[in-house]
Amino acid sequence: MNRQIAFIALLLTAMLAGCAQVPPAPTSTSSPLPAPPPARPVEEPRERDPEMIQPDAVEPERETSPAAGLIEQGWRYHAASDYPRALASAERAQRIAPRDPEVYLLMASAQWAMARGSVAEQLIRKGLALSQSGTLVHRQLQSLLGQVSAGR
Amino acid sequence: MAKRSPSGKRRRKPARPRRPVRRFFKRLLGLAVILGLVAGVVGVLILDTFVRSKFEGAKWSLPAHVFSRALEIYEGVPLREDRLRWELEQLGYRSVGRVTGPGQFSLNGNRMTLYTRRFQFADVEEPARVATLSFQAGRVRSLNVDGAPLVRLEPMLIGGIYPDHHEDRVLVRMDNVPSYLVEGLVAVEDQDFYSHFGVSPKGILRALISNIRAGATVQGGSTITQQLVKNFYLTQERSLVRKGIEAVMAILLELHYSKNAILETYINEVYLGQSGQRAIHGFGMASQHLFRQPLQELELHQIALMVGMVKGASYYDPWRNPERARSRRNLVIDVMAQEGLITPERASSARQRTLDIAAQPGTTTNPYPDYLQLVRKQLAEDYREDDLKNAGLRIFTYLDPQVQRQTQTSVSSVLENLERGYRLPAGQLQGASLVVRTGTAEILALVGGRRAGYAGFNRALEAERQVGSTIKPAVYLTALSQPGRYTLSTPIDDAPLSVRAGGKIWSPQNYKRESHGQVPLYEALAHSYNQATARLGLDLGLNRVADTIRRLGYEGPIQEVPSMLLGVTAMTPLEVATLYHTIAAEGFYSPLRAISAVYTADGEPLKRYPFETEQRFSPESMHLLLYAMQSVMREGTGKTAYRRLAPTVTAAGKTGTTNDQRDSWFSGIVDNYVGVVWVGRDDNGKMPLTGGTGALQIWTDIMAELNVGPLSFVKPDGIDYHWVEPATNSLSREGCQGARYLPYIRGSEPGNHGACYRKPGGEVIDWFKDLFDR
Repeated sequence: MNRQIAFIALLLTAMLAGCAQVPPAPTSTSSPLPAPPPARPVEEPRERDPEMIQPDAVEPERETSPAAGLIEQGWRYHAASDYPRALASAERAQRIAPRDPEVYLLMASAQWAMARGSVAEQLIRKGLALSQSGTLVHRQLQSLLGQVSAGR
Repeated sequence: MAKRSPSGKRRRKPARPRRPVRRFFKRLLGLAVILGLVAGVVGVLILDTFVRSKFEGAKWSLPAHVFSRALEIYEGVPLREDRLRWELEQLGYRSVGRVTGPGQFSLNGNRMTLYTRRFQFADVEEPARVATLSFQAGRVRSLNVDGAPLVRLEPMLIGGIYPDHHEDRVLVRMDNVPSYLVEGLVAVEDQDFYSHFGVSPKGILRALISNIRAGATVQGGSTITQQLVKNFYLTQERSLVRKGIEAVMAILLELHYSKNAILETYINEVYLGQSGQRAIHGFGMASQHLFRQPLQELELHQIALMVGMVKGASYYDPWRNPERARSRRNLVIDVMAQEGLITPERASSARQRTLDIAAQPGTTTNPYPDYLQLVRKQLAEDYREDDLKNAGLRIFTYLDPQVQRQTQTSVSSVLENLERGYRLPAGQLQGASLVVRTGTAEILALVGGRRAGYAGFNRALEAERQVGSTIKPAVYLTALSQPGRYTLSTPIDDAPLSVRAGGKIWSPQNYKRESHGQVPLYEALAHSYNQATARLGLDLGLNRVADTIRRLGYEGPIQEVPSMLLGVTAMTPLEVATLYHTIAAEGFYSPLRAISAVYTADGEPLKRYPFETEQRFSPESMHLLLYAMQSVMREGTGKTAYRRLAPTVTAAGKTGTTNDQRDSWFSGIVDNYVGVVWVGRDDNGKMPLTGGTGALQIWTDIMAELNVGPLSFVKPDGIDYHWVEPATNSLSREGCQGARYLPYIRGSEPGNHGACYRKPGGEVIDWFKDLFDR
């Protein structure tokens, strides 16, 4: 019995610690686009969902994952208003990590900046479908969706 | 003595008529001279205009060159060492003991050191870099490249769209031409090039003496400028008039343009070989053709071979006449040494080298004609045929040469095995296949028939065949999109039925002509029960199912008749791949793409084809469908795939067989790939094959050889998993007999509880689970 209580306590502690690490919500901005992050947005710990179909053995992404580097590069182009190159970088990242919602955030931001609202909106929906609610990228996508919807 | 005339006048009279004649002829001659001069001047002026207009305009009709995807290498990427080596060889990388420059690699056990080439990509210029990598279990285990997490190889030239005259060339600028090539050409073809004015009397005299001495034509007196005029402006006709015109034009060319400009044009114009209908022009293309290497990477002995081939590309063809080509190459090396361009030691070492040409011509016309057909089809939407053939466009595609090669091999070899196994006449079966990258909608491979490299009827694009049970996921998706009515455990009646349609009675039967009574929905799909599917589809409404098929991406006509539910609609493999990609992308439709970008001949971006998508279904309903399609693979008609695939690999798919087994289909999703395979006969005859025994075998071979990894279907937020008793469609619990863990759209799980649902005195883990399930 004591072992069970200890187990639950350990899990609750781990969960609380995880909550404490959730990054702050992005500051509101009057710009039509979400401000490109200066570097790769803070990586939130992605726990493997125990209810995934056929649990697999995918290793967690490393800090210097190739997709992350390409997304960073894409945001740099985005900041320099070079949207075609931002898209090209995002597509490279997509090939490596097609389920990374940040890929779609970058693509949608670039398309929105090029006044392609309907394309951006669908990319946001793709990103939202791949991200877990409550995560930073999910909130960024929702924020961008609000801007795109309001701007169309 | 002649009689003297009475007067002088009379005596001169006979001369009189001669004077006007002479004067007339004099005048005529003068006029003729003047006219000749005027005509000459006009002629020269015309020639001058002609010379200048062609030299200053677009000099050549340039073919469009088509490139593959660029291979990205990073830790963990599925990439076998032998496959990487194959790709490097295709790109003309040289295997060396120690890498010293771009375009080289060295192997040491399972470690490879690679010196990549510089390439200007759409997003960034990739510099030449040294990368060290190791392999393990078919993947790149480690990569070390200046601290960067990935490295990219340049794309492979996979074909072209050629002008009607079939000349192929890659333009090079003088800055990028190796100095040995320029010096060697001048030494061998025209030693006075830098001092003459287009025509070289000294050269003609030298050639004349040589030819008289030899008693045959052994040396030409034409300068490089004259050769250029002959090849670039004139025909190959041999006459004195043409020779005169050639000389005048050569002088005009020299008057207007620098020696460097003339030499650069010559280097890009000269004919250097033939590949089928395609004529290889210029040293840039010849370098790719002969050595699969860019011009800048060539060594002295390779350059000397090309210089030697100027004299007669066919006569000195190194594949057909290696000895002749070798002695000509060595002669060029000797001339270069005599002229002091290289040291005797260097010459001696170059003479010892082999011809060093590629095993096969490095640029066959179109090694992947099926894929190129798709590229042309998609390009035709944006470009005129004339621009494609003449404007020198650079077209970048998503073709993955490794996936393409594997898909072609699997189609050809498995069809052969099937014919042997079923004792069918050799060559009776045909096949087609596509492999698409999930999510990005990039077509990685396309095979239109069993014969590799043969540009014939492209079944992947053009063969419209009934799809059979391939269509069933659309029926089940229509149902699962209505969670208030249908879930994966909803019982469906697999009982005989008869429907009157179009004046006829339609009575579908199961493949084994058995009925199974009430079966859970997922099981009806897993085992591809026709009766259950027909009942389900009729209950949903034909129009709703047809709408689902259209939303999945099918744009052709659909006859809304009951047999539509079992796949009477004819589709091409490309269309089926579009449908299944929408499923694989969890409800997001994207048009399948073959082209990533088009650039001008100068490398300026002309058009990009960025990724676009559109949500057509909820991720939740797609999650349920993918579950049912995994059941197909684990326990249903697709389970033989696991004889080759590792049990850890998650695959989702559906077999398809049409009436009388005229078509065998399999469409499946695994790792990051969507693969569609069709097997059948061109005469639409019967086969002893089902989707599972035919097309699935090819699909499995492709995916097993591609070393696929596990696919992570992520659970959408609105999905909950529950333990249920499928037989009674009631909630159960883990460990109970027959209990199965099934996904449900939140709130749609069964409301009734089975006998085993809750036992008194549950363990802590049950309590904990219940806490979160509430």
